[in-house]
Amino acid sequence: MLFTSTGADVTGESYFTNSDFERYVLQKKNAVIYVFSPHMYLSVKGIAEYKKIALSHGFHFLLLRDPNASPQAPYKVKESYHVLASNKLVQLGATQHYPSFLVYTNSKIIGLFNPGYDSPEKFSERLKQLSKK
Amino acid sequence: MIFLILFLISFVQAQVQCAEGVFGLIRRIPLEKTPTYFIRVDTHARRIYMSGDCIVSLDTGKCISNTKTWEPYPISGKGWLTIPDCEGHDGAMCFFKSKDLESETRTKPVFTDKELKGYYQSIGFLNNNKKTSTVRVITYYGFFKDYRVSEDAIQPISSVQSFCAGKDLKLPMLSKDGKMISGWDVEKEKTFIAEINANGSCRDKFQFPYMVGKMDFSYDNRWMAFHASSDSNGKISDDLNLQQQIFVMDVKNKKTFKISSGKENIYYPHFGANGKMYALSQNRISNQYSVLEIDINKATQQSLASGYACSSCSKQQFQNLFSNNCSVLQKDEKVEVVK
Repeated sequence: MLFTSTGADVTGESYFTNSDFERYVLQKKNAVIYVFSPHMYLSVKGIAEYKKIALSHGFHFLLLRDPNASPQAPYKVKESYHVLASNKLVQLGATQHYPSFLVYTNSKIIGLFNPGYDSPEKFSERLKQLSKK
Repeated sequence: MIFLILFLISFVQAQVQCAEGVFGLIRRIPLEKTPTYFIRVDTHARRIYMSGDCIVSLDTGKCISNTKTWEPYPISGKGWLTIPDCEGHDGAMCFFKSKDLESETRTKPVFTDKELKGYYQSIGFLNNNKKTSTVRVITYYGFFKDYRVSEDAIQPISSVQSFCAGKDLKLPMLSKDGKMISGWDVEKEKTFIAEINANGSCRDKFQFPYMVGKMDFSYDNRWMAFHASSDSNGKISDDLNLQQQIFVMDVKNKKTFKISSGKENIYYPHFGANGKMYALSQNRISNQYSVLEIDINKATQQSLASGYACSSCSKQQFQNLFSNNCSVLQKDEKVEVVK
């Protein structure tokens, strides 16, 4: 079920702000925050792959969209998402590259976003390692 | 009174500099189609390549061909285009003749290398002669392979080998001479630049403590360009006004120059073989995209003259440099202005 964020823009897309981020981390103890851009094919390709892997390892999966994406961007997504509107996430490196993903456990953010697409195998291995921590 | 006048002059200068937008801007090439983010410019062929169904003229910004491509990266000057994971060749690196693909006379690769897997390829010329060159192709999986390339043929001359073994790196980019590599070190959480040897071993050259977008080296190896994100406030708030601007680092002396500022997003810089830098720009109000052509020497000189530069920047200095508050660098004494 999609997390309910606090704001929405004129197009009806919901924004994910700093306060949403704080609330989400408290509500979902272990999660993968995945940021995609409809301008970047691999970031769109990775959504279904990463979501499946995250859920199979017991992580929640939060999907956020590039805040600067054009409505005419070439790649469409079927999944529900929020538009990234948290500068805390920007400061953690969420927007330097798409996709970028942040994994946290026990409601503690450790480290920065991991930029760029990983193969499903590599991503799965990362989650296994993080689950042990 | 004198101090007040000096303050007002510096304030006005800061406003003018902010309004300028892009240092060293030669021209703006409006794009006919909404682009994907990676642009690769081939200044020999006068083309801009990007994923999608539009091969773009570097002169007009219009689609010359509607051939479908994906993550294309040209071997500039040799008339070849590399495309990873091309249709029907899962995980393989495919080599197309650029003109064939553009005219759709031959839409299948001339050569497919099933040994070289992975995306995000980049290319360096180990030697670059008029008739035949040796190029190295790397992919983000951490593999490279060397090829002999002429205008007529392409031939592998090495097996696939790994590079920077043991380093968990992301967004690797090879320099145009194939001797340096940049990327993000996941474990250390630092951006790094390393020398890469013939056997693929890497020796760290320097690092900096800030995550930036994918980097690109100039053909003469002097410059390295990248974009970085910041929000306009540079402080915690619920209002996000994300800005992306481009920066250039002098590889030798590690001076970093801010090249663009203002309301447009300027990102994904890429150097051409003609020595010029190209970058994507997005007007966030009209949602119009352009490719900018930038004179790198003028851009760095203007940046330096405006105080938009620091040398071996600390994390705080990077933050100041990356900030969209134009007056920050003017006021912040911590930022060393390069003489």
